[in-house]
Amino acid sequence: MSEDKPGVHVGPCTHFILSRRKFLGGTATALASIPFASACEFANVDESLLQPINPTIPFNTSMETAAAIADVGGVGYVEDGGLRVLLIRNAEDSLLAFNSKCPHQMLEMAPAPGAAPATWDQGAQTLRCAYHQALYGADGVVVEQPTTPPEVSTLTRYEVEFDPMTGEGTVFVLGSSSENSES
Amino acid sequence: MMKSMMMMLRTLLLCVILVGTTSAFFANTASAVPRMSLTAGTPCSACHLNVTGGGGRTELGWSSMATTGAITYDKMGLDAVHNMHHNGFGEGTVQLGADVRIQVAKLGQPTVEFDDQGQASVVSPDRRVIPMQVQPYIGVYAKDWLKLYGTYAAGPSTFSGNFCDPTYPGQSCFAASANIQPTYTSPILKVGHFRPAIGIRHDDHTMLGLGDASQPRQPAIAPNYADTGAEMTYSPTFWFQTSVGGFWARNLAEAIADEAILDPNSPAVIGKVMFQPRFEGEKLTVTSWLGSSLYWAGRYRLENYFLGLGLLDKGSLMVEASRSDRGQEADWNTLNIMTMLSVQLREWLILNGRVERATTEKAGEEFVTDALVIGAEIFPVPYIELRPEYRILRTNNYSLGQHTIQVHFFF
Repeated sequence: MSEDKPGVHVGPCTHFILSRRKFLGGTATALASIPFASACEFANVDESLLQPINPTIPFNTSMETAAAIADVGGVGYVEDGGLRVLLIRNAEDSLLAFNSKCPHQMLEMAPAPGAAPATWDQGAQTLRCAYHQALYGADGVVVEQPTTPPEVSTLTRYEVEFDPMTGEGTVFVLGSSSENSES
Repeated sequence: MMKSMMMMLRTLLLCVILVGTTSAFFANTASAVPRMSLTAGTPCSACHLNVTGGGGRTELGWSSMATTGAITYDKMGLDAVHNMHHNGFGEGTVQLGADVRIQVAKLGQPTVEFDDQGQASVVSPDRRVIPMQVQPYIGVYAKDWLKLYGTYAAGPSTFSGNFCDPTYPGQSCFAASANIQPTYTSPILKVGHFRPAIGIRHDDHTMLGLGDASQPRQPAIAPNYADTGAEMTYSPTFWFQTSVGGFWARNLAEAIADEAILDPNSPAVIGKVMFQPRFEGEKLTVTSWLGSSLYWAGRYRLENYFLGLGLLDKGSLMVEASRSDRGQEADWNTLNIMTMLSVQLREWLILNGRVERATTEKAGEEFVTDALVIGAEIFPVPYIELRPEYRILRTNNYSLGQHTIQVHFFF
């Protein structure tokens, strides 16, 4: 890479020193560019997802999107601002509430327009995302990883109160977050 | 948007036809041997054991990289490494090689977090160290007319005992083929389990070309995709090459994941034509390739169009388009376009940038992913490549700008 200069003794070490200077110069330039590159990093999502939400989201089974949870094994959803919550009637007196976005690729799992709804297995008490087959337990922890990377760990689960007699309930959403992908 | 894309595709097709016709006419006046790789001016098969490129390296491919580095090993006192003359054993009968790639990048997509007041904020995915590829190769020159080739790609759980663990649906953990060429000028018949000659093969699977904007991590043609079949490649003259073949589309069907579109027992056919004219001037040598391929199985059809222009040892410009559909009933079409410019500042330092757009129309919805990537290929020493990049990715749901680096060890 280096060229011999008149009057300069050229040997293996000289070659190495000259090349090393160039190499170190390049390395220094690369290192200096890291802060610049870091400053240019950004992450944005669709603005509709950034709407402020209320601490609680009330619902009842007379709502069209939540009507299915009137029956055990039914799956519905309720939404507030940019947040959509998946509701699953997993027992006569029990309801599960999850973030409706699968953490694998943030695809919609609720039985909403334009989505491929996830499948709830009442017997196994598991939820399978229709897109890449990720399987989650009733606690939100992944049971089977999706068929494509990245791996995921948990589906965000929310506290929920539900009165099976009246069909009314409340999801407590604050303080929780949607999970990042694992790898 | 789809209409404008179709207009662009038609324009590109027209250019391909015009340039192809023109180059075919002028190519007879060119005075060089067959060339493909735009800045090196060599065909794929000169440097790779695969006649259509990628994977294990021939002795020429290996030796040309053995001295490519900002600092070569002899200048570090490692003469023994520097003086390895080839990657062959048994007087060159057996060629060995390997690729190992590790990437540091943010994988995944931004998510939304709500604080105690209900206010939303965007959370960027974590930066991770991602093993991308651990893949050895072997080539055996069994006879003058017979070359054997094999490779194995390790998966995420290979080192936990799962020998064959492909990451993506349709990906193969191995490829093996016999290449039969009775004489130097004969067509080459390739038989085995390998990747059909689809378009231009890149070593970077983050490219959108064979991807799907509606399912970013589940491309129809996965990295290391391979199916079992036979393919014949013929190059009657240095500026023209054509391939035809037939495959059992079992892995492709796994990627498509819909037997109504592609049954796992269906055959697949591949056809490809490529013109490779080269023009030599007093000061500059211009290399080029252009062509198209069609891969067809069941109701799935994939068309690729590609055009490349190069200045020998200086740089290259590539334009590629890839279009697929799954039949009228499926309502699932993709159109991906990529333009990439590379400038070779030194043999060991190449700057490049590319712009990509992937569009998928599926069930009445349109998904669009745009990518802008600026980066470099740096060979600090032979057999080691650093590939720093700055990438902007924009989809229907999010946008992410990040810097990444890939470390590539090869032999």
